[in-house]
Amino acid sequence: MLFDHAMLNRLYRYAYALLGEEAGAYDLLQDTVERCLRKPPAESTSPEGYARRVMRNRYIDLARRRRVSPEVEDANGDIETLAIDTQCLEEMMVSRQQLERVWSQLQGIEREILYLWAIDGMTAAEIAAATGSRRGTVLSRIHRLRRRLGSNDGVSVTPSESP
Amino acid sequence: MKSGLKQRVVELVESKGLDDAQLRRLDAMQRTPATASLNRWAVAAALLLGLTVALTVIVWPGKPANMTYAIADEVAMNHLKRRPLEVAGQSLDEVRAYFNELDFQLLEDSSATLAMGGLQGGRYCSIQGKAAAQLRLRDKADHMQTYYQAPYDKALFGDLPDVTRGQQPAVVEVRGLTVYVWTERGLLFALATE
Repeated sequence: MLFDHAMLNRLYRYAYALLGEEAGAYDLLQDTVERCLRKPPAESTSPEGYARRVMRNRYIDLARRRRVSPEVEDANGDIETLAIDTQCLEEMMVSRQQLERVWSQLQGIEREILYLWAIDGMTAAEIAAATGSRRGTVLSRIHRLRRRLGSNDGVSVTPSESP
Repeated sequence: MKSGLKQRVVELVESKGLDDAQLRRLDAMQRTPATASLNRWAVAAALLLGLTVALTVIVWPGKPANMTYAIADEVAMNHLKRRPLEVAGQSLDEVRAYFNELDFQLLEDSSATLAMGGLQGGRYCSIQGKAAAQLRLRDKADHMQTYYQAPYDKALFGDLPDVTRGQQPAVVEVRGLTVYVWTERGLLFALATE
């Protein structure tokens, strides 16, 4: 078999990050497994990495079909000049309930950034490479994500980071 | 209690996981022989077989013999996908009215599959591009079954066993499931069982 249970669970969690809900995540995972079986990765390619790329492309296709842009550009194009990085997410404090409430309201790309940062431990530059974006674009999204999280009731940043 | 965002994201994401039934279905998808990893010789053999089949179809333009397998594979795939039901009902009479966009009436087959109970509901679907009714049943052993009815188009589906002529349904093992395919009274029937 191409994917063992541990891999399937990791892929399911990535799908959950992209879609923000569990039923859709399972459908996306099934679709991804089916596509990977139909067109398996090369021997030298990691099946899991390959499946993640397949899943992400499929997610973007589906979002476009539903006419929901998976990647909305931030209006603030100059954000690259600001000293912003994933570091600005590190100080944010949130309760489990608050995060669950916010989670489904975030855009897929924002949840993906959170996933890559928190689960895979990636920096902004690594997230940019993984998602095929410019680093500035990722920084811009992090900036917006921080605003969105910060504006949500109950989510706070530590005093030193407060405006 | 508040905690760092990163820790909360890890907790939230890692609290999600596949249940046993979902893992079984994904394992079954991966067990299908059509998707087993192929070595170089198997690829060469497959190419040779494909060429032979293609030449056979060109010389003798009948229906490829693997159409029954293709039907069974499609039914098995949809069984594993478990798309949400569009109509709920425990009897044929309860769901029949919902399928009013099909150009045939749902029938009770000669094995009385639906009369045996366990019907959960159904949804519109297709087999090889032909509009079909997909019904979902749960048997007495609590196993799910997916049951299809579609108009029988011989030109599309090829020769299939006709149970009204005493023939037995074709039985195909695919994706870890057993799928029965047959025709009667102008309809194609397929039943995927776990």
